[in-house]
Amino acid sequence: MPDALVGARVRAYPSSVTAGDSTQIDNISSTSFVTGTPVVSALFVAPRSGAVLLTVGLAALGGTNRVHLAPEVRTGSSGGSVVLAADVAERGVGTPGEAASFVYRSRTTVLTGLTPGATYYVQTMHKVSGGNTADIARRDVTVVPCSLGGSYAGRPVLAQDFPPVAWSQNTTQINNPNNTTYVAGTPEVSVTFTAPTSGRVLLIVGGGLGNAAGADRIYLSPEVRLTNSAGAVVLSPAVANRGFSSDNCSSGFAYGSRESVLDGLIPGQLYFARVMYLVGTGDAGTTTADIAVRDIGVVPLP
Amino acid sequence: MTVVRSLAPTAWWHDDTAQSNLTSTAYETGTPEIGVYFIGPESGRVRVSVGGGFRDNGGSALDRVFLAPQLFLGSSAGTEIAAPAVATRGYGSVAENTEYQYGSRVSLVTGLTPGARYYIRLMHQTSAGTDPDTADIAARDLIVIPVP
Repeated sequence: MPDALVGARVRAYPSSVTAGDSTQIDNISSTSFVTGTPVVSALFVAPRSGAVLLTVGLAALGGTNRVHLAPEVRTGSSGGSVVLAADVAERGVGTPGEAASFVYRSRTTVLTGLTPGATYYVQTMHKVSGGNTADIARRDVTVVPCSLGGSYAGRPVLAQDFPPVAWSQNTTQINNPNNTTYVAGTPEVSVTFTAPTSGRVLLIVGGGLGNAAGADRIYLSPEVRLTNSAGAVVLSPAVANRGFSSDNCSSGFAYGSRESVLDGLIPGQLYFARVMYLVGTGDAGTTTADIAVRDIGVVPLP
Repeated sequence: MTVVRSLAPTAWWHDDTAQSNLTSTAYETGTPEIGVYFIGPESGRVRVSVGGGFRDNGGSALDRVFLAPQLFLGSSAGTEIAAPAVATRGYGSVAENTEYQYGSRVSLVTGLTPGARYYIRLMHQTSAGTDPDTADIAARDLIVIPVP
């Protein structure tokens, strides 16, 4: 995402937007998505690429029930047609039901295919997995236009300055994996991307993990190679600094993401990135945790 | 005509120095202090991501870890622009996780002065202490991206 050019008059470029509310909503009972009161919403304009980073964040506790918060996107206004329906697996953040105190986390996904220049309305929606003991204390949504195309009129911008964002997701459930070294799984969730002039990208991995309290954790971590899946390894998967993991307390699926910066790439070079997973056998449990969904996003950075 | 491109760079730090058995219920920096300088972009907006790995591996796992950014104008000796606040910008772990769980929280900072220098650092604390203090941090992340 570029800054302004010195001397340039950048007027038409769409802005990043955010909205949030800290009204506590107690004893949530709806198992289908509702907006709650007040509604947390924002308007945004799609950039030329048609792609934005879409983040939802929450504070929630469960009392044995899981809380889900997901974005809904509509054209133009709150009464517009639904472009993206609220779906926790695909775009939402979710907490383990076991959490007795508020948990704070977010999930970022990349939304593509928007109409450049069109105005969209985004709002958060939430639900609970069951019961009526779950509370929410914070809901927020952030939209950042990404991979800016040549929208600086009259400026000599190279395509390589702003290569496209890359994004892939798969919702095939993988039950009880027990591999202790990283594998790509089936299907492989991967992207190819071109390194920008800065040589720097944001790596996002996330999804839904858990589904077995006390089980060994599952890690999702990014791997980067030159050119394709047979290329030289540029970044080996490792959870500590770049990976997303399951909550070992969680008897259901919890959803979120983790992001990190990868620097020193060769500008203009084609790279391959995929999300890989393994099971932490150093843990005290068994290999009964599952994967609900895996995401990977690569965003060129300034 | 020569055109100079001013791309305020992304500022970030990924650290995996363990912070063990956290006792402080007030925000502290830990060691090392994870902080970065950045320049306010033309838009006045930056996207801030904080995260890492957190657990409470005690016998009665009841402590959460809060990790939140603190923003200053100029340096850590400058005016505090935003105090650390887990609710709006922080990551708050699950006390019931006895093994490290890794993730991120993202927020948008607006209203910055274009061209001004800022310093942002990670602060952490443990939730209202239930002895023994057995909550740990495995890694801390801070990413500041200038955005439109």
